[in-house]
Amino acid sequence: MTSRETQDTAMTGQIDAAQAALQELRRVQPNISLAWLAGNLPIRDDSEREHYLQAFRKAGLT
Amino acid sequence: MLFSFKDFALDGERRELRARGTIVPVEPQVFDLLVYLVENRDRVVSKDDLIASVWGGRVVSDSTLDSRINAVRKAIGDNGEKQELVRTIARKGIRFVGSVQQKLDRQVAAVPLSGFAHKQEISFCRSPEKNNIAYAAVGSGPLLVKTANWLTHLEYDWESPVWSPLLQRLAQKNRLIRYDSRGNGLSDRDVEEISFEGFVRDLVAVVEATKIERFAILGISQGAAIAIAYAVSQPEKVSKLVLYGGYAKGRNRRGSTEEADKARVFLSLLHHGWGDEHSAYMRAFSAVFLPNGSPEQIKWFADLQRTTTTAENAARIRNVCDGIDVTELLPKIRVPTLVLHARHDNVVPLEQGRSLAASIPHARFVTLESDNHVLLAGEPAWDKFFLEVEAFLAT
Repeated sequence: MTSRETQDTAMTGQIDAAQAALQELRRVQPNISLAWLAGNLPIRDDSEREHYLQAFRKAGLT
Repeated sequence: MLFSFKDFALDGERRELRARGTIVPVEPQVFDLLVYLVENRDRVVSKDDLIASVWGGRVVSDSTLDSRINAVRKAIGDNGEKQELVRTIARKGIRFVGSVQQKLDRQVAAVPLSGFAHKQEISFCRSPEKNNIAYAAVGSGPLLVKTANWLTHLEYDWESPVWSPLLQRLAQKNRLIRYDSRGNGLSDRDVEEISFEGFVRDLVAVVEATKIERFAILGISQGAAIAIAYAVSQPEKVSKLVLYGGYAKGRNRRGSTEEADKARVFLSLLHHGWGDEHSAYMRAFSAVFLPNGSPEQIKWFADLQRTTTTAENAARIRNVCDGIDVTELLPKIRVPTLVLHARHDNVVPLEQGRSLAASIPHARFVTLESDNHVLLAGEPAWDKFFLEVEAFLAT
């Protein structure tokens, strides 16, 4: 696999994981929003936080 | 532990040094020396340190020592001129200066590595529900029992860059007894009941098994509430309480629905991140415990959590912690109590420590200038913590 393909696979894996996580999140907190998550997530590093949120965004969280 | 640096992997348990997968033959003493240097790479080790730990204090000539150090260098592609990985610091000693990555062994039965002054003895007892509970005793001196906190593992903790400095220091002046509570570490993982009362019963079982009569207790984080419940129910056994980073009320009991909402969301994210070695959430969750930890320490903490229990148990344990409320017990404590709390603790706010001290009769309260929920060796608050704790335990 090229590094680009590896990255894509990793990204797809992350979105799958984010979709599963989102399903469970909505169960415990039905009105969860991207803004709420962005404001409360304990990830300090900006780029890491953005990366993490991006997966949820792609999984359909608004 | 598995260490890797440059092209090498150092496996302490299998006693193997590999270069790009190929075993490099090394004499046992040279291997021990290398492991010791890598483990203690955060400091300059003196010749006396080496003789005490690698040669067990036997008389060793300087030339023998030098030849072993050179053999270490040769085995890892270094030499006395380059000093790329093993550096000599004139009149002080030597230090491993290469960049090292560290991994936990997946096998539970880790062989204790060289370089530790104390060897712990691990045994098992049974809780009333017939769960096997692992406990460890180490060191000599007055008895100090450390209650279980968020995910422990008697063996990994003892060797960890996060916990071992604290545990080793405590064992220098005390007979230190620790245990892994039900559901994690070396204790049974597959357990029916995970509850606060169950955690207290685990402690009761360990005290009964060790036949100790009277002892001080150290409770860290959720371990503080366990210590409090025990001290109120068995006051004749407890001589002193030391509570660090503790709380009377878990996140779900702090009166704010927002806190409880957050707790539920984080629990859910944690549950999902558990199985993923690269989970950003697990790393972030671990970084909250150790904001000033090194990447290695944060990685270790994340790995420990994932290794020491299942996602399901972690969620069950977390849920119990979030639901703790021992507020009513605080005024009933009759033993001398020292409460310490890091000012910028991000896991348990300072206010929780303050209110513990305010409600426990005659408790002494010490604020530590730190951001870390788990105190790290070398940070400024470290010395203050031990100054206070050792003075308190000595009186």
